[in-house]
Amino acid sequence: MVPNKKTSLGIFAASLVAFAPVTSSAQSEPYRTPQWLQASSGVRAAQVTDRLIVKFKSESANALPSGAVRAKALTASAGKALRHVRSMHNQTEVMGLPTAVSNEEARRIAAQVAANPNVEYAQPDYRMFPAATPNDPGFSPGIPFLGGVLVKQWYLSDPVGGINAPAAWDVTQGSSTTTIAVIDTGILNHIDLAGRLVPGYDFIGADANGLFETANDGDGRDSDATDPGNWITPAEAGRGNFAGCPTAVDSDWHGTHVAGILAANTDNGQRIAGINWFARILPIRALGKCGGYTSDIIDGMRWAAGMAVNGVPPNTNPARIINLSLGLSADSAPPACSLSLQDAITDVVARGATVVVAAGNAREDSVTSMPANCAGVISVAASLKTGQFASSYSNFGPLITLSAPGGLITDPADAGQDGILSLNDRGVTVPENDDAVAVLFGTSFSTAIVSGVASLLLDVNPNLTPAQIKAILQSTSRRLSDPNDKGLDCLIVANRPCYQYVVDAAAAVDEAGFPILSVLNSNRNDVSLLDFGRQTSSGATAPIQLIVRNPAGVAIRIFGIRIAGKDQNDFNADTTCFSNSASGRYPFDLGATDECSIDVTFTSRGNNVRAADVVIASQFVDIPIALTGSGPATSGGDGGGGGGGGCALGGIRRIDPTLWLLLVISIAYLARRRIARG
Amino acid sequence: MGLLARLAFNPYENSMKLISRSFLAFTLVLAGIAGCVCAESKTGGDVAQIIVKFKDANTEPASASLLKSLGQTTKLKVRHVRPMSGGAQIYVLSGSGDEAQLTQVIKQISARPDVEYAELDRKLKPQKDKTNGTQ
Repeated sequence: MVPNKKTSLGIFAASLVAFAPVTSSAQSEPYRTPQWLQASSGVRAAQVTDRLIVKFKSESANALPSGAVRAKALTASAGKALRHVRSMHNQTEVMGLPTAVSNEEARRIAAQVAANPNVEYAQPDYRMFPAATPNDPGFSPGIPFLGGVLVKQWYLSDPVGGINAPAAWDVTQGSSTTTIAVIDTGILNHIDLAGRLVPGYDFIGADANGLFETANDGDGRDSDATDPGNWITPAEAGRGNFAGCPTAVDSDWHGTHVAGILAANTDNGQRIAGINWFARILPIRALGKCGGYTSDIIDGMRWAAGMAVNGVPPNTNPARIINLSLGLSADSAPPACSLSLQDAITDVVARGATVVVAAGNAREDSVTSMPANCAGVISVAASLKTGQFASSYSNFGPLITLSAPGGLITDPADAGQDGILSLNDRGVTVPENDDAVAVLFGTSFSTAIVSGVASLLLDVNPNLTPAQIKAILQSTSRRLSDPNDKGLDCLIVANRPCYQYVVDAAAAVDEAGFPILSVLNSNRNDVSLLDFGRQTSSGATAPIQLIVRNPAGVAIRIFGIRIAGKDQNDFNADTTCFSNSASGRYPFDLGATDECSIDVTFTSRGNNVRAADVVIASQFVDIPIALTGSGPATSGGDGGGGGGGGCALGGIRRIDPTLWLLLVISIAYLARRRIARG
Repeated sequence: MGLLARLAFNPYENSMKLISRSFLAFTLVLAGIAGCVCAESKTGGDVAQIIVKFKDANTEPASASLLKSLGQTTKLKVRHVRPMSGGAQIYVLSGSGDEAQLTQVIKQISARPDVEYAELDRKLKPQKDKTNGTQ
């Protein structure tokens, strides 16, 4: 079903403007009213203020005719100089205090002011915040660690290294209808996960030698996904079933740590905030001591997605997101993805489950890291609190989808302030079940962060496919070195360093509010060859004009247009697809019957054959391009949309004012990109 | 490079919990990691677990004839463990030798006309690096 244009525009307004509630589409109801349009019951006061609201008695108006005079008249009562900020209504004034004080102190001052005979009432001007700022101490101000140092979830909100989660929460805080599978070491019954877990399963069976050493719970597969611990003693290290683990380690409660990042109870005043405030966690235990078998992970994945697994009861809570914060490095992994694992990924993706995997921590190209090198996954590298790529450990390379905070701890003396705070346990071997928190780092947690953001997208639009989620995450990611540079190229150009782009939860959630009409099953939707013929002595060629026409009958989103040739610097492109010519700004929306043009000209001199490919990436697989104009011969081109419309256009035609608003807002925050740049 | 380098190159194995442990302990653990040679392929002793998918979905994976045939292919004792989701099967090979020998054995199984693919059932690990304590 395809929404009509009117519906689409309503959705645009809902995602960007707060003036009206949204009426849902008649066909389906994939778009929710943003939380911040619904109610203000969750609004809370901050703890300090620097203002009072004072209402004067009407009879005092003559004696105290101005705000400044009124402020002065209250100084003795307040015990400090007040400053008039502005007049409100009906004899009511906003008065400034010299400094911010606690709300308690402000109430005390207000009570003194209220005792002034000219004053009808006085109260603190409490600073209010949207409900989307949770009160969990891990979110702010932090939880005291070694030496009393406060460690907080910088990865959620830090303006440099964070993912912009609070702004995303202004739109959606998630939904209990979304289930996220955590295929990991199992789960603890942690207080900050209370009520968030759906029944999981323990997929770890016997080791090849018949023992249950990897399982570490004394038995094989069963319905108890509790994490018994994954410690390895010095006597066990490097021996037998632990041949791949030469070092003694303590239990790390990895699955609980991941689950906390995803969906810890939020705004409950304790521990940490989850990225999705309401989602359910489906704990699947497949990693035991010294990791877990590929075969158990595979069965866990299919079960997570609601598929049948021999000998295991059906999963009644199929997951839309499958989090795999696990992997195997090139030291011992084959260069390619395991065939059986790839089969499983393909199966669950076909059922609509988005698979998010760790890029790996081996500081190598992820092409040799499984499952980051499997097709159909979102593979996530790590970034730092400083806004830099985590080059000291994170894998990299062209297969990576994007980065997310993975943190770093280089010295225990820093108390873990730069690591990833989440739910854990003090148990060194077996759990103490003490509802602790801890700091870890690695691409595991980058993965969990992206899974969490992906789950928020599903709340905005439950119909998103895994490919669409990936496209939205990439197109809205921001370059670590330049926040204004968005990861749109990742959609349309092969071998981009997308690991240098970090997830932006707010931008992604906004993007998910746009109508996505069909499966984006190709990054390169249409390729047409521009052939300008051979060089003449005059230099610049006559332009070839491309007409981009929307065949969909509804407004659609164009992720990018790229002219790709031997030397990008040889091109000049003028377009009416954007508000200013010669600059490409993506994504943009093309109305139901709109079309725009791109005039491509060669500008350099030389004897090379002048040819270029045109790539258009959109929500549709087949945006028809008609090539027309007075330039040299063209080949390829028409993708099926009919001919011409050849003359240059003066701008995007027949654009609804709402769409203009959208375009302006898009321009304000999206990457600026020259259309002919390499 | 020091500490940072060791963290970078050996991210999987280091595990420690610093509730009140010293920096010395941290360093010692990491120093232990530095020598990691990860032999993930072997699941313990001289036993290895493998995944085999047959071209014919109706293949009886645990039949005596098939196990005998696989034994002849591999020159090893072969035990069927269980079917996987998706139609592949898990087997355990006994006396599979070192990594190189095991790789060769899997190649031999893969080359059988009735086999779609065969591969080691490798162990994957959490992609965490290490903690700075629990609070």
